Amino acid sequence: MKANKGFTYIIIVVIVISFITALFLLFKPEPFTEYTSNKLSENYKNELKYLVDSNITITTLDNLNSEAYDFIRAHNFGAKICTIISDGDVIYVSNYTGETEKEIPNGITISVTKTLNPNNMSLGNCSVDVNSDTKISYYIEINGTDMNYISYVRGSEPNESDINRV
Amino acid sequence: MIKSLEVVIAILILFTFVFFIIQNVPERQMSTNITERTYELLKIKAQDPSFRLLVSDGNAYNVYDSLYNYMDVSYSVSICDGITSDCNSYNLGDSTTKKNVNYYFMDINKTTSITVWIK
Repeated sequence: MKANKGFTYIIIVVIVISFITALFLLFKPEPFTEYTSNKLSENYKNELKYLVDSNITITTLDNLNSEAYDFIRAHNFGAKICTIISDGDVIYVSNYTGETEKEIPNGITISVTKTLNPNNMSLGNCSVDVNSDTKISYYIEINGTDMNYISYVRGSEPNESDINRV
Repeated sequence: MIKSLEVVIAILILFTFVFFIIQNVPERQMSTNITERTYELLKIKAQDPSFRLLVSDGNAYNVYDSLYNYMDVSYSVSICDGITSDCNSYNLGDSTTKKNVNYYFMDINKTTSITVWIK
């Protein structure tokens, strides 16, 4: 009985260690697959931003989505991408969702004039109200998980002055 | 006597655990921070047309040089062609602990890989 009492310290220490280990396991880094998916999604968003700020045409947007689609699939992930960009009087619509949406086949990017679509343009999970400030809408799904579903206005991203030393 | 021995064992177990935590957790945390910040740096530099031109040229040393002012850790740069898979590398690392950060420049089919060497 006396010996059992003496084990109290060791038991308490083991319980404390178990508790702390459980905390570390709870807050462990995200799994590699999830990390890779997030990075692929961030990569696409950043490339889309560069494209929109530099030279947006049917060809450049189609090349971007085609490359992104192939790049994601090269990581053995399933991919769905749609993008709608309103630029001046033109709306660019790109469908890489794997299905025909609104009569736009998969793997196709088209442009329409605002006079033909004065209010709203939508495709899959992407939607742009041409009369609002929101000019860009994209949706990217990797391995069945919604990675990003964002509509945003140009010029809200970080720039060179935000760089901190690594 | 037995009780004292058990107290000593308990303290030893506790110290071993604390030593293990001190050895491993900061390194893991630091490595995550460095890779995240390196990726953020790449994302910002990817918005710079002159940086994209360097990547497009495929000269890893020039890309390494353009990142030098922003990096406080040892690193190497590798630029791979997305079509031919040919790579051009500038390698300075010699540490055992390393982390890779990849960014794909989709309009020029080039993948830039930065290997960060964590001391």
